[in-house]
Amino acid sequence: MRWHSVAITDVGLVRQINEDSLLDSPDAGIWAVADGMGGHSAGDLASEMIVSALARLKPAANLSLLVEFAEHQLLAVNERLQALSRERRQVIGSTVVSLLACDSHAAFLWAGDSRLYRMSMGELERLTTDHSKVEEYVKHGIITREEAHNHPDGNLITRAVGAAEQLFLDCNIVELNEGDRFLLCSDGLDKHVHERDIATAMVGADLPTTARRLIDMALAAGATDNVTVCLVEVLP
Amino acid sequence: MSTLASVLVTNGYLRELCAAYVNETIDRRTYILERRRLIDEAVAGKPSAPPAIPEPFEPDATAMMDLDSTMQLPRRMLAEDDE
Repeated sequence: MRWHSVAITDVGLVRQINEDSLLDSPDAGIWAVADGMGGHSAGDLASEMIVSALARLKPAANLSLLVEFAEHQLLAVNERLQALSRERRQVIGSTVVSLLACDSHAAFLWAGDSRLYRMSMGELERLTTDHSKVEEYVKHGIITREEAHNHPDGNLITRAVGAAEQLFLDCNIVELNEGDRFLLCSDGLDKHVHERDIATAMVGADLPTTARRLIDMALAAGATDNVTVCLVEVLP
Repeated sequence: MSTLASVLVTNGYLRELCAAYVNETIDRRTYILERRRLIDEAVAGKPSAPPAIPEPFEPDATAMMDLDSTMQLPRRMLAEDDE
């Protein structure tokens, strides 16, 4: 399989600094979005450490090994962030979602509320489940999926790299099919742009135009947070 | 089995496996080995067996305490307490 990709990050309309980081490495078949937390010189450092660690991933013989290498890198970042948090006496962490392609399949690893979507045959499907309070409310039937959008607890995440001594990354795999598009994004996008509007934006334009369109939609909706999108398209 | 069907089955198994690891039902070594097996089988289009996750402990119904046979205080002792 071959693929091409485009990624854009924007500070948004309210924040002074961009704590999101991204990795767009089509040659290696690795993409990632990380959304840092902890404020200036902390959140941005955390997210940058994550994408730098993933950028150093060595090629693997197969997908399961690639997952193990990536997890190893993220666990190492978790340890370093924990040490930094103790030193600075503040929580320094970052969400992460990463897509790792190997031949005809891809694996994805994530922690927190950065998301991975797949647009296939005109249908948008969210492949990740947020590690967040709101997702737990939905799971336990306290609120509906529709009520989850713009819920006041929308910022409360239950997992992040650096947030706890032991990091649990969720993992799953997907088959790559020609024409499929994948979207990795920080919550600055889905907080402001409804999934049905993301789905509409994901069809009918080339990748750079689509990425720009998604960022512009978040900006038009107020962009109170940093916004990052990374689009990957599977080629024939 | 097609690789698509295999991946769909694996999706469910990987979710179960990740949840079992987070809940500490399985240790890290088991998690890594089972994840490796599931991914390798899905990529090869092979049907996968469910991950090896121990059943959560539930007391055997026959071993439950029989309430009828619980010790009852003699009436006289209860009467003394009242006094």
